[in-house]
Amino acid sequence: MTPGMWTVSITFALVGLVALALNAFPSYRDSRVATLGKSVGLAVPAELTAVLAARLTRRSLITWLGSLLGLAVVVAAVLVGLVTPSGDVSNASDIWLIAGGIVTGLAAGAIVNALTLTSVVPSGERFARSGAVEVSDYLAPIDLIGSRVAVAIGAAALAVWIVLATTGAIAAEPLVTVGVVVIALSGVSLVAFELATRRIRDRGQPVASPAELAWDDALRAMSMRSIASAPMCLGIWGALAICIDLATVATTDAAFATAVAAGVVVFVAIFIAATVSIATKPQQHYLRRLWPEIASTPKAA
Amino acid sequence: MLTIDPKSHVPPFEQLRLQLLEQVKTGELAAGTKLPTVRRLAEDLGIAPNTVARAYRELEADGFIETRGRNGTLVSAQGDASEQQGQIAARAYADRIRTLGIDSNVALSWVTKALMP
Repeated sequence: MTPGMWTVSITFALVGLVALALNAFPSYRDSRVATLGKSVGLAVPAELTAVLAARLTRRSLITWLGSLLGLAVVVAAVLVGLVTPSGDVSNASDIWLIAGGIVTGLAAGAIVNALTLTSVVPSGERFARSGAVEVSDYLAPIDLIGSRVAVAIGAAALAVWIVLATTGAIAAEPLVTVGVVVIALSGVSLVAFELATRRIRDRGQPVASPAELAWDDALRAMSMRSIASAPMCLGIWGALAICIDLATVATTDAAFATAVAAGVVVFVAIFIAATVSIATKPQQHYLRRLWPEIASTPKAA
Repeated sequence: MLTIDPKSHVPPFEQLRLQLLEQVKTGELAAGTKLPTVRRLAEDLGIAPNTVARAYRELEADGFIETRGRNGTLVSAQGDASEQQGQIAARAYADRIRTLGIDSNVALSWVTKALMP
């Protein structure tokens, strides 16, 4: 680990601890509910504020702890040389591992939070949706298909790496690089994503009002997006790391190095565009699919 | 939306059956719409799975819904053959509009214009 990566790791850990501590303040919890309400396009009924604040706090605690645990595992694995058997962790490589550990921990936290949530059947009137729901009702195509495509891109980069290394076209030493580890992790996270999102979809939603059901849908959609972030990021980062490795070992062939560099630029552009798109779009795909009557209602300015 | 009132004098299975029947008849549940699984609906409404299964069985016997093995339980098309085909086409159109994220009022206005002679 370089001093720069220690700085990144310690800064992230401190930010995480501050975020965890903020949840102790009721005013912060209530403001988060109000902010989230705008983001997901739902009003916050007074009777649900406390319940929603508690659920958001639980989610925040578990996902932050997951991220911090993921970071700690990766740092420990790098320090003892577990992740890269050759011990080759260069300046450019450990960023992928650290970022990968954080998003994997975040996704694992989101899975644990969503699948361990217990719900109580209301004693009075109960509401349920009359149609079945699918994962695609909660996740926009950019999340649902994007995560699969990202892992496929990573797998393709890995295949190129293996073919070039085994045919002797490049001097791949070591063969198991950080990129290879990150892509392997992306495959595992994709399987976890596919299984977990189906489990979340199939879980019951005992609610006492349609508003509560809409909010439960919103929180499910958020959880699924968090889980989707792992295969999406890891697939792209792994492919990028492999491309950088290819460029490094192929410096003697100018044309090949140029092609690889172009590939890296394209990957970075796609990743930045996707990140900006996802981060700036309101999380309202579920609203258009499951609550079209609310989605089509003009919002007050 | 389905509602179960545990304090009602109407048995839960009958409450459920009547609501589903009404939604199929009014078109709120269009032909081809997939219904929740028995287990899932029972969990959502806090009632026994047998209660949901009974409501589904009676609706199926009356021809309002049909079970297609692993594809689950779907709303049957109602009316004569041409009306049934129209309902299936409407379902397909609605699914496509939802996939594209288009506002339902806009989509309805297109249909209205398309149907104009």
